[in-house]
Amino acid sequence: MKNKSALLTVLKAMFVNKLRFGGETSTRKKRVALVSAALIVVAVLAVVMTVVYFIGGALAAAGNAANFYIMLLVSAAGFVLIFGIVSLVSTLFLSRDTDFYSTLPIKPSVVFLAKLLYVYISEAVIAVLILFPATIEFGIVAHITDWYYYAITLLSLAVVPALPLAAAAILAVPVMFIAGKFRNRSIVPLIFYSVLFFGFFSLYFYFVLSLDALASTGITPENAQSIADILKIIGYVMYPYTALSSAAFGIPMYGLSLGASAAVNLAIFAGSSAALVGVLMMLGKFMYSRSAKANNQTDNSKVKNGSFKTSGAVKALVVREYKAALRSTQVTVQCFIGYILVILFSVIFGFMYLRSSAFSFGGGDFGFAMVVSITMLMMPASSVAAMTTFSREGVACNTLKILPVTSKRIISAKAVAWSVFSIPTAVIAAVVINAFDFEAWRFFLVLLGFVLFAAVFTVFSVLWDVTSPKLKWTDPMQAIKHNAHQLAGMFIGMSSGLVLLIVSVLSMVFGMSAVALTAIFIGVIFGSIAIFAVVDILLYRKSDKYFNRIEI
Amino acid sequence: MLEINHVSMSYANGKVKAVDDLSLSLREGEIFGFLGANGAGKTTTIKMLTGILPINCGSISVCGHDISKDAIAAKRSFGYVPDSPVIYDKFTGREYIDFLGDIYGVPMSAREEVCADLLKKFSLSDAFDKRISGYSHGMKQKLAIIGALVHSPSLWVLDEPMMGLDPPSAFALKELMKKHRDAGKTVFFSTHVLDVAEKICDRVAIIGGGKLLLLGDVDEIKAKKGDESLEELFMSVAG
Repeated sequence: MKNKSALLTVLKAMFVNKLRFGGETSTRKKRVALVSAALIVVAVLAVVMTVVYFIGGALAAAGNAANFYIMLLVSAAGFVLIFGIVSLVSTLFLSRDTDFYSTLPIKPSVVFLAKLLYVYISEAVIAVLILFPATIEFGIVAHITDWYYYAITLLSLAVVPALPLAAAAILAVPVMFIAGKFRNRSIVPLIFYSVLFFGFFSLYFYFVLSLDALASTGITPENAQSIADILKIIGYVMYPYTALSSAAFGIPMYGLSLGASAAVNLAIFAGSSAALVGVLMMLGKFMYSRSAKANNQTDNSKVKNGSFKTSGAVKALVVREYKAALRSTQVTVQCFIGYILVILFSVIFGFMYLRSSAFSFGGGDFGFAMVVSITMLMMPASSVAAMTTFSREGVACNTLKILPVTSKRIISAKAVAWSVFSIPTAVIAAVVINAFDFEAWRFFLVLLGFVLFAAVFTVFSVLWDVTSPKLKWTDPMQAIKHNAHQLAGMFIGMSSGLVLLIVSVLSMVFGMSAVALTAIFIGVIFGSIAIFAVVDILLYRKSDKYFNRIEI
Repeated sequence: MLEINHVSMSYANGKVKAVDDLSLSLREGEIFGFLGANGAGKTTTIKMLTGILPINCGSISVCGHDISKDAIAAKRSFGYVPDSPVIYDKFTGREYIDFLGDIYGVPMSAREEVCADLLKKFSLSDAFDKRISGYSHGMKQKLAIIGALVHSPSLWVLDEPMMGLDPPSAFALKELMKKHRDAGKTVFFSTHVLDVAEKICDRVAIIGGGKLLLLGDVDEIKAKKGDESLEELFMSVAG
């Protein structure tokens, strides 16, 4: 079979397997999954378009349209780098299909390229969905009438993710190499992702603080030039995007005519992307074959003789839960990264809203309300582990059923296992947020609210999953990905955070006293805790029925 | 047909030898049983000969093609049934066979011919156009067997093929192996089921700790050892 044909066959197979719902997925679940995905895109798009309208408009008015355009591209690249790397590493180096393809008469480089294209197309679609309306909106806001801005933008948008994805994959090669040396390989990528996330958001935060130093009363035309200088620095660091921006805005460079300059800039942008992909292909081929060996390695190394240890049934089930969560890198990352992100976001948004005057539009109360709202929104989103605890069991659910332990104890063990992470995460988030602006009574209320919410929502997550677990899978990641029931549960949990976010924005727009804002927040947070507590009790009472009807 | 020359594989930075200087030579027209206890090195050897694991020491050739140097030609020559079959479970059975047919360049008429016969033998016709995610382990195993034969390979490699098969399907599989052998082709399979190996294998190899412990014609070995059963032989060398 010719390489090109093999490439397309493999690519098609990967997309068919990704885009199809499971055979038994009901129409209702399919709808929920599609609506959820659409809602996420719309929410992100709304935020991006607001930023383009306000900040982009101000910078364009001050003559810095090209620099803002660079920032748009660099931001998109940054998010592709951060969120694409998990998918990239999973697909390239940790996928279960590596063995399968190794036995087929296809060159490993063709399979590697197909996988790279698969991730690239997946990321490019999302990037284009967000960037396309944003760049067109910016063209309108900035009153750009030159045809080449729109033509170059349209042509180049799909190429934007190439650079960060290639960089992400190159970054991942040494990580996977190091991971291969460790007995517990799952932990290394988790640490890597955490460091990368922290690094990315720290840089972002540095940018926000730089804005803060410049703009004490919001963004004005006077200080827009200073902001543009920061953007210029980013532009030089990420030069290929500067080149693309210069081409789109018809800025002559290198002493060349407009047309020649645009051609050179486009060549720099496309060439640097191609060069990085080339480096990746060379490095990746080496790492791809190594990953097959690492994935197949049986841990037969000599270890110290162990000794029997006694513990209760619940503790034994809790330990089993953790071991299952650590069984593969992808599952480990999905189960634990959410908790890390909650803490990370509380730090980032804490700084942004409470320390950055550029964003404290309505004063400290609004800033604090925003941070609390975002953390309340993030906490349910971090509960992947609890929300898929039965789904990840798959056929092993049968093992649970034959144990001489009641279903209530199994559910309790699972709830305990994930509360051990969700509650300390809530405590840390409460401490971090209040550290920026400490008031004892407020700290106590936030701490109590977060901890109780984390506790009741973790219990809810476990019970929610037992009502309709997704058990038929061949790869445990399928229990997490495209799990419409899990997504629905998360959205239910996020509703209180969403209400708080809307209240916060309304308070800024229409003005609201601190007392009224606090009262609403207390009402919503503790009200949702009470609702979840009641739902938990109702579900727990029926948990035997739910558990017993599980069939695989 | 299959030449394994002084192949070794180690893990944990060389501390653990999974396969240790293994050499085997398989002829055309034979069923070869590859036996060993758990962790003996059977699956590692199979993964090396199918190209899943790289070979750092020694060499393996399939139908005269070196699996490391001429991988594509070598892989065209064999069909492989893994111990955990079929990963693309959102495909239907037919789509999976079509995928493999495309990769191996099998004409449509040949696909239809092979599938018509095998689907009937394995009673899989009704499920063939359903998603694989709804299949039982045994059904997936049967589909993997069909997939491995769709391009009529010279060498058929199976890793623990009897696992999960119902008695009629296990019988059908054994008959297929014999048919493959009778067509002048070769079957290489690993198993724990010594009765099956004793009944259908022309030759067997027993490995332990990655090393070859015993190799030879089943009947000859049994005669030499005083007509012991394969089970007793196995226990005397690898037990």
